[in-house]
Amino acid sequence: MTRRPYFVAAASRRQFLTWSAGALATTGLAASGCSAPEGSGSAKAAGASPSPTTLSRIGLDYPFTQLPLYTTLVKLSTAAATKHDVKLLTTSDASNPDTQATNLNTWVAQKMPAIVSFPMVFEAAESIAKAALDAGLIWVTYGGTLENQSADIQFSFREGGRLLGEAAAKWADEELGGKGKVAFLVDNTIELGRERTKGMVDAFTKLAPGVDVVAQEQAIDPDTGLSKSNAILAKHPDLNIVLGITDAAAYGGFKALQQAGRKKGDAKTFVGGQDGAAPSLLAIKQGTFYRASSALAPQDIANAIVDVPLAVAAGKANPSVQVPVKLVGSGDTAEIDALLAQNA
Amino acid sequence: MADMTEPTRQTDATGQSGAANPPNLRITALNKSFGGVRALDSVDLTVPAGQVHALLGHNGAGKSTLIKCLGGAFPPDSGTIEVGGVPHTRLSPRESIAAGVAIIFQTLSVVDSLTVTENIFLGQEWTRYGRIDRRAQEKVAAELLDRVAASCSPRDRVGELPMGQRQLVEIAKALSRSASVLVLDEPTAALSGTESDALAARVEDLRRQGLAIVYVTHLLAEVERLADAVTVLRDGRVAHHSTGARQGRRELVDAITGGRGAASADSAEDRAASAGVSSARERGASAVGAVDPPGSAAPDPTMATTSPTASPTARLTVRGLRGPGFGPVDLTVGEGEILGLYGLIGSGRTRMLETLFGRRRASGGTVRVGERVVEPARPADALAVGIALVPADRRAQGLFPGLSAQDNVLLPTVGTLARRGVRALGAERRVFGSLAEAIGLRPARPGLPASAFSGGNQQKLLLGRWINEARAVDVLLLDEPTQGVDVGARQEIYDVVSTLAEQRGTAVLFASSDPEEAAALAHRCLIVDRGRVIGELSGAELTEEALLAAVHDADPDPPPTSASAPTPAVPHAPHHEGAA
Amino acid sequence: MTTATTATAAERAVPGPRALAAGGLATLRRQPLLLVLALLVLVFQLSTGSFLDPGNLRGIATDAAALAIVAVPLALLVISGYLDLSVGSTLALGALTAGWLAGEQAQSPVVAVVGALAVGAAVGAVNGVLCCYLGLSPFIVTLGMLAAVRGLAQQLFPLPLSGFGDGFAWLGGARIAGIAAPVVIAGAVLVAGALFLAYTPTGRHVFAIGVNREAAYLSGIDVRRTPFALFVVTGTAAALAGAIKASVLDSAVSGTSGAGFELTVLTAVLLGGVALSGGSGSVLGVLLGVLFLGCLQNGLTLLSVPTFWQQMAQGVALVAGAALAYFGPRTTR
Repeated sequence: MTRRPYFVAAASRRQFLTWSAGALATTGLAASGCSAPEGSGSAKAAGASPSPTTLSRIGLDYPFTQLPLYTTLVKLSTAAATKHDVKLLTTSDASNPDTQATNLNTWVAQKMPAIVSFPMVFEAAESIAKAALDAGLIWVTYGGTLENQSADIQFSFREGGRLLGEAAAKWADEELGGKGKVAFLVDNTIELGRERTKGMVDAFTKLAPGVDVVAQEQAIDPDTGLSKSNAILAKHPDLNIVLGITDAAAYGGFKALQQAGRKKGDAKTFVGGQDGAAPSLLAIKQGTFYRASSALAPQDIANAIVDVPLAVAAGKANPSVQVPVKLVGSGDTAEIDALLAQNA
Repeated sequence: MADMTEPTRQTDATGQSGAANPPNLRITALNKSFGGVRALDSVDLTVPAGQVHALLGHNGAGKSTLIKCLGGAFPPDSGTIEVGGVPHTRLSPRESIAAGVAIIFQTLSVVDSLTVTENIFLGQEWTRYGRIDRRAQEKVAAELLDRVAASCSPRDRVGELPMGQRQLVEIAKALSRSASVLVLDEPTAALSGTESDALAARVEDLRRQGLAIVYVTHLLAEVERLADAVTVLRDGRVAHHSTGARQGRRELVDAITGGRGAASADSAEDRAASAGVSSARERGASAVGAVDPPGSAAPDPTMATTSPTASPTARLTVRGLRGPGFGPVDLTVGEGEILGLYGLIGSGRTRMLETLFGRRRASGGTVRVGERVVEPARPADALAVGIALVPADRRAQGLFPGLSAQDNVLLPTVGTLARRGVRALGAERRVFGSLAEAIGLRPARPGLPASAFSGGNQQKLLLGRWINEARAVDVLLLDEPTQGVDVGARQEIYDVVSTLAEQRGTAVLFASSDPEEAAALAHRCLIVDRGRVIGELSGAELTEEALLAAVHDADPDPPPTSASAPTPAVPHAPHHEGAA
Repeated sequence: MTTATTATAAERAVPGPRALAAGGLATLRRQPLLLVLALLVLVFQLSTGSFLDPGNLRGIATDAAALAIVAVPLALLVISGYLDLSVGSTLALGALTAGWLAGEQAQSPVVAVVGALAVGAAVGAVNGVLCCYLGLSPFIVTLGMLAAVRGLAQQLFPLPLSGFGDGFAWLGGARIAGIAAPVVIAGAVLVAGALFLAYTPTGRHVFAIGVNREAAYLSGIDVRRTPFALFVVTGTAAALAGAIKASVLDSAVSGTSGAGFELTVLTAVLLGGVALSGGSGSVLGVLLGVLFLGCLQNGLTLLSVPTFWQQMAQGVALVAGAALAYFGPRTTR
């Protein structure tokens, strides 16, 4: 659960990293790029931005502080909030549901005017959300929907999986003649993982029925991805495709294949993941057999975190937002550079 | 020995009480073995109400095993324990207390940080509305303290009381649990003379109040004063039983030691035990008695009576040594000499040894090994200058139970034997082999874990740690060298120590609370009381009786300023006060 | 049982010719886990048919290497009566330091690895000073360090690092005589640990301190320096394992790298017959514990056991392995 959305992120590099000049390989890539920053995602709520009427503070409660995305989101959404003269505050839940509940209750008691929360346990958040609404506060649910809420910020996790599955199936059809072997690195432990898994597996098996599914293993981090892929490769040395529920897990599979002797650019191999994590994006950009990632743009999410509460405050209809997911492949260099820049 | 007629005699002697009511305590045919060694062999003991029954015997004769069976610490193998007419084949500690047995051990079980009242009611607190009813408890505690004629207040902290008062608190605690059988385990061993007298009076009170009292002691004077009946244990069997006021002293001593002349039919252990005693008795004549005949290195017994500072071959010289709870102390141990420090528990002997060994910091004084002044801050420093200590608490401070015998002996030495940081396995085996032979280790298996050895052989391992071929210390400090060691092995340990002193000229300084041991092992013995040396015995004067007399007559009512020089019990060379 | 394990530790202490003659049977009796492991391998081979393939065994060995590298010094530390729960975070810090030096700083692989080792040693030294010289509880101290070092790693490296270069990839990917470099390193650590325990005076002292610290002190053994050194070595080993993982994965993430690793290592150590109370254990046992965990994980994957069943099977196998190791010697005695 805790390692769920493994996004690439990059953060305020803080004092220490100021002397660590070139982060990743992304240094030279200017933050230009074609898409993203100014809110392709916040389409519906976009009009809300000019009216910071009553809202002075927004509380962002993102519990998975160990994820790189946490740092990135805090940085980007703080910047977005500043543009609207809004102060952004954050919790430090350390992936602990109890700590999260305590922190949220504190905010409700202190009358934090708007709360954007990614509940670790949705059922547990319901009563807190109700209390917030009863106190006249704005409650925005992140990553799901509650009965008691002002609005929500949704991600189509199944859509992300579907995009990846379809791309891989198309590739198998073209390069392998619809034959070959595929292994899925999946997650069955939380709702979000099951959604991604279902989207990915269903889309692939429907479009590429001739490809053998040789394994479906739980893996969301690179370490596990590596050791599981090693085991699978021992049994099926001719494995063609590894699809990951996260880019991190898929990256482990990518390394396992390389260590089994696969050349970086092997034409008969396909690895793909989801999130848009930096190591994976770099591998895609270099033209390796890591060929695709279903990526979310952190800037889109950050914009939504600020825009949705503002839209609610301004009394807009349908303030909720669906953050779009996009498949990036080796041809999407500009797209990749933009994503990497957001993280840097 | 425990013939069937004894219980009958017992009943006859106490006549009136025996017929109607069952005796408060009746132990019948109790057996207990530890790994093949018979600790108790068909032991009978009957104590009716209002009687003090003395229980005598050497260390290891079975007294403590018997008490522990009674207190529920050990389950007996067979036999019955009848308390107040209710027979038990075994007791748990809880059942024992419920049945009315109270045991006052030498090491008391009072909690120092609690008050007298809290100690008395520990585990059975009186509550009112869920709170401890302090007032009611204190009232009852005061009554109980009155009953045992204790002078302390119910609100005193036990840790601040003198030893005799603590003992009375423990007795009061037993009374609060309506005990009908009171067992006192060497109750005067840690008491001063006046405290002992006071205790004797309390025992007489309690007898009048109808308790059955088992009184464990090795002091015949106490037996003569208090006991209505006597049982002597030897090698786990009842060696003697008698009733009535007059006990024949000679007879009791013979029963304890096994009768020197009639020992032919007895086991080897018996002989060893009697040898230990005889050596004490005959030291005046033969100096070492049954121990190996002295070689040329052994000091002339007459030397010991001269001033310690005069010894020309002094290995260890201590002047004005002070530390928390003891001092200043002056002493000298000559080459090849075995010097005893005899005193009651709590008299500061252990602290002196631990200070010499660097485990405790001295607050003043000088220590010299040979001519060299040493100031050990850690045991490692002491070892570096040739001082080693075999501590009293073998389990906690000496042994490595899970490690092999060879490891136990050689651990401090493997580094010395090693070549270029690699252990010299062959040399280690050789050193251990010859040591095992020299000290009579049984079984002599290097790989056997130390926990599998008997107490005596464990002690040999610890001695061997400092006296093997690869390491020989100049000064060996022994604290209670044979505590928890069976009789046969005791003699072997004495032999090992004597031989060591003799052949290597090692200076041995040992502390003991057992007068028998002090008399048997020491060439010369200092008497220690409250952290000071108060007397010295040597040669023909060094006997068990003299040692006991020395400590128990030490303080006829100690003045509150006990720091002033105490009166020596026997002629004693004056010490150099404040030599630091 | 305590006497059983300690007895075996004691008997093992001095490998004489007689012990060698007693041969494999005695080894089996002392290491019941060996039997359990053999059984596990047999079951996996029969049910998958490919468990014993060289490729798969290589994979298991590579996976287990990082575990073994940390398990050996940790076992020594536990034998001496201490404990280090911070190795998971130290591993992460080591991985990130090595990756940062090799990647962003474009330093040579040697500098990167040495840098990581230095960081690990520093963490170990902090643990050691607090536990050995100041006498604080190792449980509390290293639990605190687990959180503190993780926080430090995240503060210093909030972003995932990747792209460490081909030179650095050598550490995790090179083959030395056909054997992967991490496996060679792990083998060296195992041999060094075993030799240290059996053939050096300090190795004996480790047992003494664990069995009875007071007695060791009174025997003139330095009861602080040796465990302190073991803390430093354990920290260094964790950082080395981190560098290896960073090299194998060519990436490192401060939040998740090595998360939960401390418990896996401790499991391997305890499964291998090292008593948490100190004073007994062997390097051979630790090796078996590491292999047991590695084989279990790999075999269950090969069998395509569904996720939750896999978790359950892992838990059950652990308890069963521990129980067999626990009751084994008693029945043979």
